[in-house]
Amino acid sequence: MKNRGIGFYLTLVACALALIDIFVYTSVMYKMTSVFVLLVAVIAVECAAFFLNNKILNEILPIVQGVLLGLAAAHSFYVMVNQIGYVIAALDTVDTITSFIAFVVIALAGTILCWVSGFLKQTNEA
Amino acid sequence: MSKRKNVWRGVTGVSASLLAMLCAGLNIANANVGFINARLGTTNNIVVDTGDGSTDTIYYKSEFGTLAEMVKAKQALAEEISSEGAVLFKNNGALPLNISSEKVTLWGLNSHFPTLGGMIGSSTGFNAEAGQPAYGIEEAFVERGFSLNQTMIDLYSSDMVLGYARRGFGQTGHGLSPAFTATYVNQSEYPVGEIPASLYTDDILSSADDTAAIVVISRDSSEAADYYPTEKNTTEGDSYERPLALSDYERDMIALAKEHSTKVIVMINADNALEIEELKNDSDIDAILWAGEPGLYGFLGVADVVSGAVNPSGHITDTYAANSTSAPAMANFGMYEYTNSSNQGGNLTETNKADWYLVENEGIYVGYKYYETRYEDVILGQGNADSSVGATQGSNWVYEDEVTYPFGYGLSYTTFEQKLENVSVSVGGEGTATVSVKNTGSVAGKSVAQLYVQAPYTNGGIEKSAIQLIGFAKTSVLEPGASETVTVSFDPQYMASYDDSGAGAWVLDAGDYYFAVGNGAHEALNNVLALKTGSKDKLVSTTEEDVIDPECAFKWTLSAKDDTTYSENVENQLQFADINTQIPGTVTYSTRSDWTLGWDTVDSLTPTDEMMVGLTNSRYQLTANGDGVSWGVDHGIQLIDLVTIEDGKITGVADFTDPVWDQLLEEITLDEAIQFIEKGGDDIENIDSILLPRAYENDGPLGFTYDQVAGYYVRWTNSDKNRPTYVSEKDEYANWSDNVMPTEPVVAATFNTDLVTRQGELQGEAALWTKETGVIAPGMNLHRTPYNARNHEYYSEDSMMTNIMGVAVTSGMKSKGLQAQPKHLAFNHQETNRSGMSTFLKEQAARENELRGFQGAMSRNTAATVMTAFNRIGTQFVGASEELLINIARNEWGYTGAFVTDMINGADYMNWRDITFAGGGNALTTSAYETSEIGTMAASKSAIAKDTQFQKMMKSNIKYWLYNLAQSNAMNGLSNTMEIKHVSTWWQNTIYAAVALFAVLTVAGCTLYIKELRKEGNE
Repeated sequence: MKNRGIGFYLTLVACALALIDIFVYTSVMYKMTSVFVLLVAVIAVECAAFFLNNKILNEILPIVQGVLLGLAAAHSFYVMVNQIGYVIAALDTVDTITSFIAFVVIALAGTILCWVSGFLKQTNEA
Repeated sequence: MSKRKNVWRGVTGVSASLLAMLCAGLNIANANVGFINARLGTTNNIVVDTGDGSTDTIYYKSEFGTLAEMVKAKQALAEEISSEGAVLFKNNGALPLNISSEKVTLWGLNSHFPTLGGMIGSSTGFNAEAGQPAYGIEEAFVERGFSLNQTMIDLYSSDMVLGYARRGFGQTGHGLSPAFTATYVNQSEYPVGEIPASLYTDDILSSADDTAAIVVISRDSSEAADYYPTEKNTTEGDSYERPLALSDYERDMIALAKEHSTKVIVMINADNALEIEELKNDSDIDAILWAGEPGLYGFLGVADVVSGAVNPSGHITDTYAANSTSAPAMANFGMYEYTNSSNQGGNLTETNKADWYLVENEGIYVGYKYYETRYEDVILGQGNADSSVGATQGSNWVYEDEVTYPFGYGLSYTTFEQKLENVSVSVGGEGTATVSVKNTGSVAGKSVAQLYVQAPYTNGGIEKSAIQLIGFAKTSVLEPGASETVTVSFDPQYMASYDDSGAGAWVLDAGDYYFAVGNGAHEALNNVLALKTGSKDKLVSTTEEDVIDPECAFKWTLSAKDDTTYSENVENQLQFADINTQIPGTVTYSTRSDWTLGWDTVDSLTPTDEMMVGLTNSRYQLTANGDGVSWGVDHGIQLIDLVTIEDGKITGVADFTDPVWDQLLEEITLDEAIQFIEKGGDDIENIDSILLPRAYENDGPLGFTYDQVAGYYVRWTNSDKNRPTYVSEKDEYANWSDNVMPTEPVVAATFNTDLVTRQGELQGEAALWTKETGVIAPGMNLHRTPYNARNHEYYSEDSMMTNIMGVAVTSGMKSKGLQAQPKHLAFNHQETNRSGMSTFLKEQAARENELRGFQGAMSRNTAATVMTAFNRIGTQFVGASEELLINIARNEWGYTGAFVTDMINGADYMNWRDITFAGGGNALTTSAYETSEIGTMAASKSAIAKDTQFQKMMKSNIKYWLYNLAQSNAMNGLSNTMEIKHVSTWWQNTIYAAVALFAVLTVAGCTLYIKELRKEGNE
C-alpha cells in the first residue's frame, strides 16, 4: 500500500461506491443483469489491481472503472425510461423511482471520482 | 513527464466514459425512437412520391377549413351534450331560474373546485398556459349571465378554506388517491372536501339571504382508484357513513342553505351514484339536478338547463339506490387474495401477477336488473323476494326502501304523454315499436321513448331480468301541445337469454313478451305489471310524477321456444370462468327462485392444479412444427393497392377472404411482423414492405389525451406541411388539449344517438387535425357497482345502453376514417388489483351483461380495434383468451377488427406468446418485455421461425390490423407511386456527432497517453 498514489485511493472509493450500488440496484423497480455485471466488474478490476499490483493495470484502472461505472449508470435507464415517463406525466409516484435515482447518483459519483483519479498519480514513484 | 501522462490519462478516462454513456444513450433513444419523434415532431420515415404528384391522396377530408372551426364545433357539441345529459330528478317549480331577477348563491367548496372529469390516462385535461378555457361552475354561470353571490365565492377562494379542499395527485378539486400499479392495501381515506358550518359567518350567511341556493354535492373519478364503503373522511372534523353518502359537513351546508335562501337546488357533480334518498324526501329541497362530470365545457350546458334556455331531457343511466351497498354485487367487491399468493409466500410469484381474484356472485342481476326484478317478485309473491336478506332497512325487502331514482329516470320542465301504439317483432329480423308522444305541458322540450322488454320467466328456468332496456328514440323539440310519433328500432336477438345449462344457446322461450315504455325501468315495469296482472294494486311508484298506464305496455306472444335463430356457431365458451366448475360449491349465485341466495362473500380460495396453469402463464409454448411460412416475398403489392378509391374517397377494401391478403402478408418480413406486434405501444409500427407508414393512436373517451401527448401539432412533421389539416406549432390552438368532452355517463344520459354519432364524427375530425389514426375509446365496461371510481369512463350499468351508445359513437368515428378502439374487453369491473386479477362469473352473466355491451360495435364492425383488459377471465388473461377473442368475438359475432392489449403492466402474464397464440393482437408497449422472464419477441426470433402455427397466428393478427388500417385515415397521403424513405432526424444526427467527437477524443487521448507511458518506460 505504501507505494499507492492518491489516485488509487480514489478508485478504491469508487469501488466501494460500486459495491454499495449493487445493493441499491437490487431495490430498483426494473433491473438488468448487465448492470450488475458492470458493477461487479468495477470491483473485480479493483481487486486485481490491488492484489496483482500490475503496473499497466494500475495505470489504466481509473479509465476502466470510469467507463464501467458510467456505462452502468447510462445503461440502467434502458428499462426505466417508461417508469420515469409515468412519474413525469404524474401517472405514478416518485417513490417508484427513488432507489433508481439513488443508484444513478452513486454510479455517477463513482464515475466522477474515477475521472479525478485519472488526473492524479496512481503510484508514488520511488 | 508523469504530470503530462496523468493529464492524458484523465482526458482519456473522461472521454471514454462519456463515449460509453453516449452509446448507451443512443441505444435507449433508438429503442424509443417513435416516442421521441412523436414529441419532437420528427420522423425517420418520409413518404416520397415517385410519380408526378398529381393524385389527390387525401381520402378523408375535414369538413372544417381551419383548426379553430373544428375546436369550436367540439366545444359547442360538448355544451349541447351536457345540456341534454343533465338529469332533473326533482323539481317543485323552483327550476328554471330567472336569470334577470334571481341572484344565485353557489354553496359548497366543491362548487369552487368541481370535478370536470376523472384523473389519469383517459380523463379530462386542458392547457391554461395556451389560453384554453375551462369552465367550472362559477365560470360557466357567469358566462351565461347569472348573477352570483360574490361574498360566498370569496369565502371559497380564501386561504382560510384552502386546507379543506380536495387535493390529490397535484390537482385541486380531486380527492381520490390513484395507484397506477396494483393497489395492495386498502384505500382507506377519501376527503369529501367541504368546510365546517362554523366558517360561514353571519355576514357570509346574510349575503345568501334572498338568493336561490345551488348546493353542489361532488365526488371524484379516476383511473386506478376505487371507492370503498369502509373509507373514512379525512376532511378535518367531517365524517360520513359511506363515501357515496352525504357527509356531515354537506348536511350542515344544506341546512344553512335552507335557512338563508329563497329556494334550494341541489346539483350533483358525480358519475358514481350517490345516496340521496334524504334529499328526495326533504320537502325543503326544491330541486335536484344531476350534472355528472361534464368535461371542460359542460357546465355551460348545465347552466343553460338551470336558466331554462334548454329544457332538461336527460335520463339517468344508473340506479340511484338508497344505500349504495345494497346490491348483491357489493358482496364481492374489493380485494380477495388466493391462499397461495406471493404476498403470503405461496407458490404464486410476483411475476405471475396472479394473487387476486373476484367472484361475481350476482349473476345477471346487476343494477336495475336486480332492483326491478326483485320488485316484480315481491309484487308477484315469489322467490322469497320480500325476505329481509339484502334489505337495507333490516325488515322485509320493499322497493321504496331500496331505490331512490331508478335507471332511466328524468324529469322535464314540461310534461309528456306517451303511448306504445304498436310493436312488431320479426325473429331473425328487425323489431320496431311505434310510440306516440305529446307535449302536455307549457314548455317546449324533447322526450325520450325508452323501450323495455320482459321475457317470460318460469321458476327454476333460465334467469331473466324482469325488465330490460332494448331500444330508445328521442323526439325533436316539441312545442306545447305538439305531438310526434317516433319509431324505436331494436334487434330481437337482444330479447334472447343465454342458456348455459347445456351446450349453450341463445333462447327465446315460448310465452308472452311484454314491451313497455316509461320514464325509466321502474315505470316501464309497472306498466308491464299493470297489463300482465290487470291491476295497479300493490304497485309502487318512485315519485309523484310516475304514471302507471297499461296502454304503455304491449304483449307479444311467441308460440314455440326458439333456441336456434340466434345460436349459429354458438356454444358454451366461458364455463371455466364459473368458479363452481373449478371448485364445486364455492358460491351460490343470485337467483329469482330464492332471493335469499347469492349474498356470499368468497374471501378464501385455493387454486386447483388446473387453475394454476393459467395463473402461472403456462398455457402455450413455442415448439418446432409445420413447414414454415413465407416472409419477405416480393409480389409487388402495397396495402394501398387493396383499397377501393372512388371520387377521391375510400369506399372499400379487398374482401377479407380474398387471397390477395395472403400475398400482401407474404411481403412482410419476419422482423417487421415481430416489431409490429411487440411494439404496439404509443404508435402503430410502420411496415415498409407494404408501404404502411407509422400511424398513431391515443386515449381516450373524452378526446385525445393531453397528459400523454400534448396538443394538436405534435404528430406533424415538416414533410406533412402540404396536408390540408396540418397544424403548425405556431397555430393559435396548437397546444390546446382535445380531451374536453363530457364523461360517458353524461353522454349516455342524453339518450340521443344522433348527438353521440356526431361526437364520434368530431372525434374523427380531431384525428385529422392531430394526425391520429386510432382513439382508445369508448370505454364499454359496465358499472357493476357504484364503487368503481373509473365508472366515469363507462356509459352505464346496463349492457344495452352501452351497446347502443357504442355503436353510435364508433359509427361516427369510422365515417371519418378514425379507428375506434373500445375498451376494456372484458370484465374490468374494478380498478383495485386489476392487473392479472382472476374474475369469475357465470357465462350467462358474461354474455348478457358485459359482452352484450361490446357486441354491437364489434358485430357491426364499427369498432376497428378492441383493447383488452388487464384482468383475467377465470384464470386466463383476457387478452390471451381464445374462447373470448376467437370463438365468441370472431366466430359468433363476425368481428373483423383487430385487438390490442392495454398497457403491458406485468409483461409475463400479458406476454406476446400467449396473446398471439390465442388470437390477440398487438402488445401495447415499447420496452416492457425487456424486463420480463419471457424476454422480447425479437430475442426469440429463431424459436418463432420454427413454429409454423405461431407464425400463422402472427399473420392472422396482423391481417386484421391491415384490413382496418386500409379503411382508415392512415391511407391519407399514400398512393401506389409512393415509397418510404428512411432518414435520420436532427436529434439522432446530434447524438451521432457527439459519439464521433468523443471517439476521436478518446483515441487521441489514448494515443498521447500511450506515448507518454512509453516515454516514461524509456526513461
